[in-house]
Amino acid sequence: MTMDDSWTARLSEYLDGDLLPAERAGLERHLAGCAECSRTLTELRRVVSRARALDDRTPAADLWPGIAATIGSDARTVRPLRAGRRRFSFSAPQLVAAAVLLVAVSGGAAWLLRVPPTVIVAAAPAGPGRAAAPVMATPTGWNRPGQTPQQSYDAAVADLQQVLREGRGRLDSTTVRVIEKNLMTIDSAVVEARRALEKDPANSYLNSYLAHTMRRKIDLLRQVAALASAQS
Amino acid sequence: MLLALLALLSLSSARVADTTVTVQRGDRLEMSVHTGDITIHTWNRNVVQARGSDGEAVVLARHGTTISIGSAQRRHGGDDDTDYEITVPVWMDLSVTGVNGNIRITGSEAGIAAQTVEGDVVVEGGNGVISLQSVDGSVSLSHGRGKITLGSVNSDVTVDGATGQLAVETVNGEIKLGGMDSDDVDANTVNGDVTYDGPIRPAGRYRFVTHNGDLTVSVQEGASAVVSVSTYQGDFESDFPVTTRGSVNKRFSLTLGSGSARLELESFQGTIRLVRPEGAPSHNRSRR
Repeated sequence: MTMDDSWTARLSEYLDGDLLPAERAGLERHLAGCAECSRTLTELRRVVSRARALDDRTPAADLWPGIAATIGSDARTVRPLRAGRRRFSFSAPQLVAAAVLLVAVSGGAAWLLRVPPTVIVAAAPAGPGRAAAPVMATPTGWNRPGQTPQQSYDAAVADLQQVLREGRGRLDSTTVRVIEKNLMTIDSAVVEARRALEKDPANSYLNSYLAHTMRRKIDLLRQVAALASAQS
Repeated sequence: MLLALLALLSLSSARVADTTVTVQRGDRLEMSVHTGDITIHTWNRNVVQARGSDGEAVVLARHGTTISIGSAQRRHGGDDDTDYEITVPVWMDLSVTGVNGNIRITGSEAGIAAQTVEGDVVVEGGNGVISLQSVDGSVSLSHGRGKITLGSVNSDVTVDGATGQLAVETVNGEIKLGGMDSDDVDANTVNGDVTYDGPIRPAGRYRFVTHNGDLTVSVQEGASAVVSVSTYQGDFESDFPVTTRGSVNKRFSLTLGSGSARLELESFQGTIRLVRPEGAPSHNRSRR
């Protein structure tokens, strides 16, 4: 099989137990005869296992007072809205990226492969004329011990860009230009969102939007790292 | 991946089937091309037929249930620069990868995975898991059904008729979703407009996000949804009267009917519009 084997893209769903019984049986039949998929599944299990071992981190504590003030909530009512099992879903390119990162950047980068949780940190309780509204935090999913979310994010980007630099020679120059242009587009959006948040730090939309846009950059970098790897 | 295909072709040389090979249900097609366009048609025969451009010899190989296609030139170490025209059974799952070239697939009634780097991906049909990706090219799907994932980086993504679960993403490009019939849609771009035309299904979930672009979402008469609207420097317009609540910094929601579905609309600095489906009468416009 090759990495574009359609079963590869289903391995994550298989691990999550999301396949229909017939699909599961089909994949297991395929695994019995496909050494590469079996290896990928083993690798994925290892990645997920390592990612699951990481600590869940709470959002930056200093965000809440501003948010609470805006929505008129008591800070003591903070409660997570969703506390389900952490899920780790990977597309085929991400599987490749996972392998690249595990090999090239060693264990120190395994946490990059976490799907940053959509951190709903609080809910404004319903009140007269006001519905309950979820409030979301800045992207704390990248937190590394002893680092601020921003430092963690910058480090994640730097690590992925290093992987990309190593694989850059395998990409066509036009492709590299296109990717750089699109990374700049995302950077511009991040800068605009960040500036807006500086002016309006309690704006819950800006908080979640900034997190979303920063994730986009990580996703694109991962996609490109996978692309470079696939063309080796 | 290319090495794997070469090895596969080499190992399968005893089973080379010239330019056609008979197949049966459960077989699938896999191919990987560096440079060249791939065009795939379908028919009702249980046969795969492949032709290369300019008389280039094409090799079909079977490995288990997988049919692989490559050029004889590449098999012998030459440059891979061949356009392919392939015909497959309608039921056959397809996995097609290119680097420099377009991919066009018509008439499939099976799962499709198609990705290229420099080129467009155009698919008509597909049923099952459908994944279409390009880095520097547009992605277009019409009349697809199933679990659908579409992505570009530097160009537009267009859907003209799709049923099922849909996830769409691009960075520099528009997203145009028309003729939709889905209760699960997630579309986001950074630099482009997003347009959605299709019914809002009860209990459905719809999320549309852009940074530098407008969102235009059709909402049929009688739709039941909680609509969350978020913008920073943008505007909100509706072709029909709506009552909003919870407005804080241009973030508010409105409820249509009993609020069964969830519709999330975010544009950092564009206009968010609710419109009636094409052809439906529009009433008093409301704006905030």
